[in-house]
Amino acid sequence: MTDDRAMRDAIERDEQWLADLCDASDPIDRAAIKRRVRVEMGERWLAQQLHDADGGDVARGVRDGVRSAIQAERVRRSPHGALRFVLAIGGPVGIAAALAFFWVLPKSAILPSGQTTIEAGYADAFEAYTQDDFDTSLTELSDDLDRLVADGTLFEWESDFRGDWLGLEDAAVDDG
Amino acid sequence: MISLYRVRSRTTSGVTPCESAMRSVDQVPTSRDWDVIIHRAQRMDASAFDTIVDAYAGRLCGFFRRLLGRNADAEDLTQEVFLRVVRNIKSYDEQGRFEAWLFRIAANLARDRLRRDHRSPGWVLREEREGGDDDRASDCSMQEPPDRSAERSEDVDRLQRAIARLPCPEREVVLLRHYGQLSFAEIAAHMDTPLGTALARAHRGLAKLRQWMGAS
Repeated sequence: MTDDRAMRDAIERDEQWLADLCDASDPIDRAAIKRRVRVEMGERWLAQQLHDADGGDVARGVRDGVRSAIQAERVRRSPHGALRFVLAIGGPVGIAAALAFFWVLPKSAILPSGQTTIEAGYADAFEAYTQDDFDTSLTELSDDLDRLVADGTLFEWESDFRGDWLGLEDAAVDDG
Repeated sequence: MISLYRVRSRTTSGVTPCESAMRSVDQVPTSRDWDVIIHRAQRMDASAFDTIVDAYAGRLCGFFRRLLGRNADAEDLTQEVFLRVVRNIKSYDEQGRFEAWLFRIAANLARDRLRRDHRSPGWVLREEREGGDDDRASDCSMQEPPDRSAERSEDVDRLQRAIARLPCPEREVVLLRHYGQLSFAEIAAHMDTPLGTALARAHRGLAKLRQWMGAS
């Protein structure tokens, strides 16, 4: 017991020496971590919404959701208002619209530069949204989505997005 | 003296209150607030996660830097800890201390990284700074006032070298105490060792550090 007490005393003394010598905190860019955390939260929210959905044609829902967003934007004159509107709608349309906003909205992600830019585009979109400088033409986006639906590209991306990126089972995609 | 703040009143039998670890951030939650913050985080409240990042990012980054020896790894894994928190916060057991849970995640990530890279903790912080080819390392050091940075550099470099010389189990115990402020019981449970072993590792590790640093 005495040895144990002596050891604890020595540890306490040495820990105080270390605390005097070295900070117990290092400088780091906290803002960057917070942005990444919000992207992660957005991904998880979206994954849960998609998982909870009955499946079906998410790609077409994206298009329809964006059109709802356009209507909302015309009423509210605000992309943010439109986003809040479609999120409030909930259900497959709202989910699909959210998918459009958070995933395919950046032009870099939906133009021919291709799928490899999706992840970066997603993060940029979420960051832009959270930083209140979100200003993209929803009408142009809707046209692009029509084209992507027509040529099947969006269906492929949807499958990859749900399966590989969000980690959902293939069955969840096929349920509908 | 190179501390931005110091950890006071730590005892080997108890746990330092979390408030004492928050002095480096602007908004310091009280321990009573933490229950509320964790509950909000479990409901995916973004501002709650901001608070958690503010409170623990610096300590986690320090833990990883001392344990792994690389700025890039430290910043990468610090971010990864918070992503794991987002993914797993709902399963957090409120009976356990939050920071013990947090640093168990950190320790496991560090072990995985060392195992993946097939290496022991390196000593590359000085080389990264001098080489200037690591933007993130530069960003990090920019946040520190120049005069304080210069004052800290030499002693911190020597300490880092000394820590890197420690056997891995001793290093982990010392760093989990210093940065994570875990109790020895928590460390012993995490490392799956008897309490006496955790105490002995801390005792040996700290004694070596003092000897190598030339402390009286």
